[in-house]
Parts: sequence; structure tokens; C-alpha cells
Amino acid sequence: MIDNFLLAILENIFFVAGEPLSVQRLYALLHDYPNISEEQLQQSLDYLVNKYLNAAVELKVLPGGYCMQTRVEYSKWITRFLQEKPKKYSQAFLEVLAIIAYEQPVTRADIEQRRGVAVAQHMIKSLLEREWIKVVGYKEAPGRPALYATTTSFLDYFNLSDLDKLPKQQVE
Amino acid sequence: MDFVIPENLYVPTPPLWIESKGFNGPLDLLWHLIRQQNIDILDIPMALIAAQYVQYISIMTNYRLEVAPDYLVMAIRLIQIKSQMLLPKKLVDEVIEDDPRALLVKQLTEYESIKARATIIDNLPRWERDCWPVRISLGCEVEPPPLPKVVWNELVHCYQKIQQLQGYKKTHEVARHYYNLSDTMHNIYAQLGDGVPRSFFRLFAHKAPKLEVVVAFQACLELVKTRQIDLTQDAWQAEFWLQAIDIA
Repeated sequence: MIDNFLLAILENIFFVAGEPLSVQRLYALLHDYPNISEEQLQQSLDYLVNKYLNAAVELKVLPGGYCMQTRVEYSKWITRFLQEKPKKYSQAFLEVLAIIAYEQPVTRADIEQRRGVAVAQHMIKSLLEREWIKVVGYKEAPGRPALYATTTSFLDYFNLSDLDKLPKQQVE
Repeated sequence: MDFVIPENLYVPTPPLWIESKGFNGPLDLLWHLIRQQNIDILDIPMALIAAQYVQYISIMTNYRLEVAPDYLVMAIRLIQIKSQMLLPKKLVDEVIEDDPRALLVKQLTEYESIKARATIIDNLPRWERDCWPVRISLGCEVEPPPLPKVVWNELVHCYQKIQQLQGYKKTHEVARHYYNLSDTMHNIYAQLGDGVPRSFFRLFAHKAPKLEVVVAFQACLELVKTRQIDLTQDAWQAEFWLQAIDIA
């Protein structure tokens, strides 16, 4: 049963949100919508994803939820319009992130040992602030160092539907 | 350091890194040396690499670039490995000793894969560069009202007023009060002289300083200890009552 009014509500919300919205959050939003059920909500979401498959913007399904996003194909014009310099990350930052992403969970010491440089603290703090990594436990070792792993926000930012989608390296 | 840099040492050209952001660590620097000279990583000429590495470090120091301790640690390591290579290979139980370069090679290979992975992540389509979550501006953001312009003579007038007001205030000195425990004990005991139970909190003037209350409490405990008064309390956290103990 297609409820156009419900679909319209969802579409409006997606355009206003500016961030991924989980099914739970949407369901809570619509809690008093007449005859709303989880199945109906899911069906509506599937319908919308389909509707936007070939549209100018896309309704992406990310680990953080549903997110209306611009398409990569048009990034050149959008960047020009926004007049912003695209964000660049330093090699060191990316290396620390790569170690955590591919080898999680890891401690700071692990990261520093792999890179051969003892300056991960600054990067780790930065990554924690962005909420791309989080502490998932402590290693049974002297000092009980924190173990880091990536978060849902990390996956959202890099358009990965899950951790398995991190590309494997090519073996030379 | 008993390490002599050979005179006609070829140091691969040149400090591109002075123009770029520098190396990401000793492993990065080593890779630079290895790549530039097409060295086979499975058979690194330690004497050459160690010498070149040390030369690089001293160039960096001369240019006053920051040389992190990690670089120096690596320099020592390279020299150590080089020395080990010069020793005749021991035959322990017919098995040749491990190649002293093995750990270094392993580390270098691992670092190479980390660099590759960093590039992979960098190439992923990402927010703020390749795509953006859509957000319609709701257009109802209200601009804060502009602050009124301040005129010079108004400022002066204000200042004069403030100066006037200051005149109405006397300087107020905060004196430190000292409380004597035994005096307080006497005081409290005296208040209980008629044998009537009194609430602890009624002993004080309204808004007595905290220190006074604390000392009074201590005085009560002392009086109880010396069996001069009785302390009773009806319920948890309720008022407590003091009563002098009849000696007679």
C-alpha cells in the first residue's frame, strides 16, 4: 500500500536532515502516524530508494541510516559552486586511520610501531573528535592501553556500507 | 660514533623533501633511498644504505629541519645491522643464523602496505569532497540585532558615572576568623547549662560561616567523647540534639 502522504513526509525530512537518519529515528518521528508499522515504513523507504535511483540526487543507505546525498559524478560543479577547497588529509593522518581501519582493534603503540614514528597521539585525538574512531576496550598488557576501532560515522563519511567494503589491496 | 662516512659517497638527489612536506618517518625515508636507487629490498646493501641515511639526517639537521628521535633510533639500528652483516655467519647446528636485515625488511614491507592502504582510503568517495548530504536551508535563521553604535562622549559620561558610584562604596575587608575549639566547647556547654536539649542547628546565628559550623560540630564530638553531653538523632539525616549530662 503506497501512502503518498507518508512518502512525502519522508522525502521532506530527508532533504532537511543533512545527515543519515536511522530507521529507529524515523519510526520514532512517525510514531503517531495513523496505522504506521515497521513494515510499512520499510516498504516506503525501499520505494524511495528506488525512486531516487536515477534521480539527480541519491537516497543512500549508509550504516548510520538513510541519507539524501549529491552524486559523485557532479562533485566538480558542486565544489565550484561551494567555492570551498576540498578537504585534504595529511599522509600521516591517513596512515594512522588506515592502520586502525584495516587492523582494528589496535593500540596507540601498535600504530606507532607500524609507522616507525612515535607521534600518533595527536592524530588519535583528532580521529576521536571527529568520531571516526572509538575506544572498544583495553589490552591486557601493562598500562592497559586503549584499543581503537572505527565507528559508524567513519563508514558514513567514506560511503562504505560496511567494513568489508574497504577495498583489499592489490597484490603486486 | 666510530662510523666514517666514505668521501665519495653518492647521496641520491636532492632534497625534494625540502620543498615537500618531508618524510613521514624513518621508514618513509628508507623507502625513498631504496626506490631511488632501485635497490632490491630482499638484498639491501646495508653499508651503503646506513651511510646514506646518516648523511641525510645530518643534512636535515644542517637545514634545521626537525629530526624526530625516531630517525636517530633508526640510524643506530641501521649501523647495528650493518655491523652484524660484517661478522662471519655463524653455523649453529648446521643452520645459518637469521639474516640480520630480516626484521627491517619485514617492517619496510608492512609500512609499504600501510601507505597503500592510506591511499586506498584517500581515494574512496567521501563527504566534503565528492558528495554532500543534502540539507535545505530553512531560511528562518534570524540575524541577531545589530549592536547600537557607541558614541565617544557617551562612553566618557558612562565612565564618569562609574567613578561616582565607586565613591558610595567603602572598601570592604574580608577578615579571617579564627575559631578556638576549647572556647567553642565552653560556649556550647554553657548554652546547654539549663539541661534542656537543644538542636545543633539552633546554636548558630543565621548564615554562620562554614568554618564556625565545622568547629562547632567538632566541639560537640569532643564534648561527647569527654562525656559532657549527649547527642541524639531521631532519624537518618534529621536534626540532632545536644543535652548536657548531669554530673550530679
